[in-house]
Amino acid sequence: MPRRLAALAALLLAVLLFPREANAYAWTVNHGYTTCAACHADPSGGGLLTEYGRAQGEVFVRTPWEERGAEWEPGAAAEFAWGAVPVPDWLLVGAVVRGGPAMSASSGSSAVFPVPMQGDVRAQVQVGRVRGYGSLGVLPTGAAEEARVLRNDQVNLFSREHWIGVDLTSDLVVRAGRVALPYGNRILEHSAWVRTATRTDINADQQHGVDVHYSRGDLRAEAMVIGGNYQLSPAEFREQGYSAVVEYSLGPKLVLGVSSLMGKAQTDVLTLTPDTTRQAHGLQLRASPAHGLAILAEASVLLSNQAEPGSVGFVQADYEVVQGLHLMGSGEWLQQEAGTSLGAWGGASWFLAPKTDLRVDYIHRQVASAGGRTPTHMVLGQLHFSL
Amino acid sequence: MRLRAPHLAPLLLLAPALAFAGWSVDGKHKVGFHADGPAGFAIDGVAEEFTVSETDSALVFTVPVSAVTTGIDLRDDHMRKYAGAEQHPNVLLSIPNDQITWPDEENKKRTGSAQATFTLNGVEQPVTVKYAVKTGKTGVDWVAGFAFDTSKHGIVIDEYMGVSVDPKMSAQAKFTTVNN
Repeated sequence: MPRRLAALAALLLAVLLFPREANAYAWTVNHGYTTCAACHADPSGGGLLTEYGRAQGEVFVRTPWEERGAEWEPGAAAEFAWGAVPVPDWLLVGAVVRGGPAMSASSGSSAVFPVPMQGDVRAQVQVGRVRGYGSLGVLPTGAAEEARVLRNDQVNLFSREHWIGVDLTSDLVVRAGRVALPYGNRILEHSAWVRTATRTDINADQQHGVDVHYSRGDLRAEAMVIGGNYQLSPAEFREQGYSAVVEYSLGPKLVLGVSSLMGKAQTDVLTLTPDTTRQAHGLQLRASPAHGLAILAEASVLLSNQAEPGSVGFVQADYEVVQGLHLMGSGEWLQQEAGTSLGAWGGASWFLAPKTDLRVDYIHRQVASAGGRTPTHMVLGQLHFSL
Repeated sequence: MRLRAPHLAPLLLLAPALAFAGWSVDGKHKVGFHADGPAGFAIDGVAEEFTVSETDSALVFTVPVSAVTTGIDLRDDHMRKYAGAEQHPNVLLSIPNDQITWPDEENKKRTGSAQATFTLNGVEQPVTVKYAVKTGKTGVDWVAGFAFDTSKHGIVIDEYMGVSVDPKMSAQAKFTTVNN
């Protein structure tokens, strides 16, 4: 591979690997949170935080530097903009910026570059039982392509999510709009193969459709009828189908689930093959077998009328050394026609101050190709700040 | 824990070696409560300490409120305030002896329901305890649980940051009393 091409490949790989979306911390199962609706406006987690979720960011997510006596409460640090901008009860609002340096290497070439990952504003307006949610972000061109709403030489404006929802009961929500697909564990690592191969990440894989979410007691279920991603053109790329997940809490810190999706498009947006129907069906687990330790695991079979069956899997151990400081180790595989690719992630994240965290990842992958496996390496640092 | 002879009489007939010996709860006990909120939100509390004693007429299970944890310190503080821990440091469950039917054979399990008294926040309320007991050579295995309503114990739980908790909760216990 020519050196410049290898460098370009490394750069593309880097872009694909960046974790961009924040606040999808499935390791909170370690603190007994088996569901997400208390902390997130999206009942399946990720994105905009509720008032309660903001408070938990102070209570158990970040490292506590201050003395916390019996009368301690999260205070202004848990409010939007530290309370400098009053927000009425019917409005949730948040803003997030994420970015950092990255170094990638593959086939003897390497590249070091700055990466802007997130620049999003999100809000939810609630009137009675009706909710309207939207996010709007600005990044350099080339990012979050599937979610863009405006792009020119200067700006890439995108909206990952926007929907109207109705809380039919406190346990049942129906939403219509651009919604993250219910499938598997909703994890921050959107570039993990379990997310990219199933096309269910929370970076840009949301689609338009109608979604029903039910959660009561130990049961959580969500199903979405997919009408297509209407931010993709032409229309032949848009998928129609369904995506669904059912989870059951077997204990305060153990959740098992099944996921299933099917999508049919006139032309597959990634492979450009016509009349493609793809399916994924899998199992997922979130568990905390010991204090401070969270295990996330997921495996799916991948089916397509245009390709041989495959499979994908991901296992992550997250250990919270002290409150706010996490060490993570992950393994993954992706089995497709070209062979079986293997990957290993190692990293640390530190929620070191209110609304602020640092994260460093090393990602090594052996990517299957016709000529065997190609090793790739990446070191990614990121600073994440929210209001 | 100390269990006195009158209550243990059926057991002592089955296991004479236990006579005149002290009893205690082994270290593997699981005692706690469960509370539900909206959309699958749940709180599970675990009691690190747990003792059992016996009066002339009842078994008394005692949990210090300060020994109950929910995994989040601030939530523990809130829980202890609601439970009135300063004035009423212990939560008590008293089961009259005549409400428990013991197994008539060793290694046999007996299940049943007992009308008991639950004391939380210093307020006594009747509860129905479902239990299973199994006697062995060296101890008694217990599994028990009951539902309770905090609102009947003078506790009004406020909404916290938009999240509320159902006042109807449940308590569960699984433990073994062993012969010292």
